[in-house]
Amino acid sequence: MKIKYIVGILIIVVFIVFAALNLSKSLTPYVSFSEARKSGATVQVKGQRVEGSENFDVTNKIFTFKMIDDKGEEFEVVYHGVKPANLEQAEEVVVIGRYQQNRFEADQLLVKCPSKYQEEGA
Amino acid sequence: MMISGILAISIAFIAAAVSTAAYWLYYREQDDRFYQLANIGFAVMSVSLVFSAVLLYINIFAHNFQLNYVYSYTSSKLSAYYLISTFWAGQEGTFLLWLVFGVVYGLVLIKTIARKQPLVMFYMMLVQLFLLLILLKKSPFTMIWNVHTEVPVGFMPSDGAGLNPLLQNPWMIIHPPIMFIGYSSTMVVFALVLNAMHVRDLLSWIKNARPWVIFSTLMLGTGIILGGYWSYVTLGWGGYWAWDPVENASLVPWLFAIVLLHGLIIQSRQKGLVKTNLVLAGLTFIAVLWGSFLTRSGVLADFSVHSFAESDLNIYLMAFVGLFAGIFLYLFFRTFRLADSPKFAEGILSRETFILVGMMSVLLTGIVVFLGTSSPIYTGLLGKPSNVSAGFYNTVSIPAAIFLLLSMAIAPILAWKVSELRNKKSVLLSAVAALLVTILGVVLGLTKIISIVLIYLSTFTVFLNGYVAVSFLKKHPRKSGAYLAHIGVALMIIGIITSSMYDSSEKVTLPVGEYQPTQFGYEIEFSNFFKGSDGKERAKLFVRDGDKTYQADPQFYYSNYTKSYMLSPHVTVGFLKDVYISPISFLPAQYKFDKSVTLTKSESKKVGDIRVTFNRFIVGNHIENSPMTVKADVTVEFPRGEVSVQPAMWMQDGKRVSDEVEIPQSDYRLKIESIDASSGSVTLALLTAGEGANKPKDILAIEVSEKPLISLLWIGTLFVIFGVLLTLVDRVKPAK
Repeated sequence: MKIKYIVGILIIVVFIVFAALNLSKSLTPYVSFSEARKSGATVQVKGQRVEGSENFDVTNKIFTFKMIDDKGEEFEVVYHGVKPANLEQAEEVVVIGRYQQNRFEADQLLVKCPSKYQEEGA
Repeated sequence: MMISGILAISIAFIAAAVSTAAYWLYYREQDDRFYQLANIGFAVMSVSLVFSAVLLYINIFAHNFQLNYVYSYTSSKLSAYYLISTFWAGQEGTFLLWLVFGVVYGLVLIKTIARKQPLVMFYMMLVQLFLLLILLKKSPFTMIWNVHTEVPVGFMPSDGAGLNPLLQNPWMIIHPPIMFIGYSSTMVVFALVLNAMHVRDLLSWIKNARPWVIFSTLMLGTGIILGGYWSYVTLGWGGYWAWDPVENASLVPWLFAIVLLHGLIIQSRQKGLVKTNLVLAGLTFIAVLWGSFLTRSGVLADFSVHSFAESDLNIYLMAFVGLFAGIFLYLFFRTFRLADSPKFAEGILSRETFILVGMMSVLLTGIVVFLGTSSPIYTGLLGKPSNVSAGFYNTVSIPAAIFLLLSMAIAPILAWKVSELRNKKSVLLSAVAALLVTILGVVLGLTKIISIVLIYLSTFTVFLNGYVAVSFLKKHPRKSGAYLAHIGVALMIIGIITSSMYDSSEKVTLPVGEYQPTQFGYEIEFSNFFKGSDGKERAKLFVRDGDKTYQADPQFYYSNYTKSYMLSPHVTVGFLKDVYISPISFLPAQYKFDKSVTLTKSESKKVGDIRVTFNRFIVGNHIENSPMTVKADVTVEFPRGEVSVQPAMWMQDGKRVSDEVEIPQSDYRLKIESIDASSGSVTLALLTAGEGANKPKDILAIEVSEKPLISLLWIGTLFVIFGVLLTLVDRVKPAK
């Protein structure tokens, strides 16, 4: 029954390669805006929003605001969605998306709140 | 009072140490006095731990805020139910909870196998001992002034910080303890396997371990499912599973326990997988420890939606993982050569071959999730810490699910050892029935190939296992648990596929008082905010579908605890689909600054066509929890009438904040711009919205989504829980 083992091992190897390829593809590091501009790929940038820079287009549901990354660079972010409720309370904003035409087009906009939430872990 | 708490934990620690040593000595010397001593030590530890738990509860219910734990997680406003759940709101409480469950498991072991196999108790007590060490280091009985050094000794805060509102939910009363019963029970399996390797008996341990493994599977599974349901009905992001590190940390041990459960079946039937089972038992417990390290140490703080509390326990937790992984590896490499490797799974179409395929799919999924969740650690060593996105886990789950379904579908009708397909008729019937269901699905809108394949395999699994389960239910109902659980897994997969690959959602902005159309055909109106029966603000929405209208009231309120808005969805549950309405944000109408006016007490001035009179200041704590609130009592006269309003100003996060107060029947709002304490004057700002049709309206932005057949997911989870429970009952008390 050697064939069976070979087939089994083959399937496992294929699965591991499949997982490893996907893993390296989906690793999204935090980068600065200048790195985002250079790469043009989907990345996540962490930073602070610039107070008073928000503009929300209610009919088209486009939310734009300015953000300063950890290196101090200021950028315009365009988010196709609705301004999240806790933006004003956020200690930190994370945008996931890519740099396009002098702006950062965000697919996701996450706000990190100063929550003391302590999840139950193991 | 508090001394007694710390004393009780210290006594428990010493007693546990004595007991651990005595179980070891009894094993070495076989002197009955050591066994008595060990059990006395266990009893003293148990009494001290139960005393500590009771003492913590007494303090929680007595609102003794001098205790840092009580101060940090409770408040006098909390209802009794939520006070119960504050016990496990913090790390210290969860460690104590684990230890108390350990007492229960210890009692069961002493009643059953401790005398013959004292090392089982020795290893379990070693784990307990380590947990007690952590509890000594981070005690729930620490006084507030020992943590916050700026607080004077003996200080009694007037109220506690309160419990996170996310945890003030009925599901959160039962989810954590069930989860911890599951986590802590893996400790027993671990002790059993260490003992087996220590005494070089790699075969008989599985008989004792099997009910424990089933128990762990049941509890971890139930806990995870409850957590997912809680997430779905309260967090409002639309899902039940986010592949968040905290979730993954609970998933991985469950997956390993499931694999072990099946490995033990093969070992008891075929004498195979002896070494594999040792490894799996070790891996399950190590995964629990690893998860607890990952989620508590703060290393993932940047990569989770949850803000993890950084803890000073890193070294201890790392030592904990290292020590027990080391003991396991040492014993394993000392003994694994003793294991026979009899040939099994000879026939390709034998039941064990298919069970192996299923085990392999679940095991690989577990390992991949484990590696994915740990990615910030190893990528951090190479350069920038990175995490993997949820898409990664979804993608790798698909091939695993295909193999898993194939094995679950076919295995029940295969014979052990030989290649033999029984009940060819039932296979054919199930295959045809599944095909018909899938075709119906395609007609109704299934388009993606992957989803069609998975749904075909899932329905095939449901029919074939259903056929076997029904025949068992007639003869030996207690033996049908496995089939029911597998039906449940298949139903869950169908529900997951339909609700996640075929959900549709739309973001809608709702100006107050207007029906807005949605892509789903129904119209939604935002009416107003109101206080729900739980005292929290909700948005009142009306959903009009043809001539039927119903009210939806998702939560939307500001929490002083989290310093942010809390949003919870309104879910209209249906068998065919759930309608999920979740608030995104509230955009108040923008009023522009018009004029300002400075007034001293009792002074009156005319601004445009209205007259403003400042009567007096009102000082007090009128706005929830915020100290230093000042209100101005103001009378406004305008052509159409006269009204009294009280705009307020208070401190929030070190900034002055003031509210805008509507002046009824006018296009104006009033707010405090500044206060001059020395002259006792107030500067009021008059804001205007513009007039008539151009007047801006408050807008509530919501997301409406429809989740087809998500009901099958929850029905499936009930099958899984019930099926595993039935298996446990059958294992613990075999039918005669």
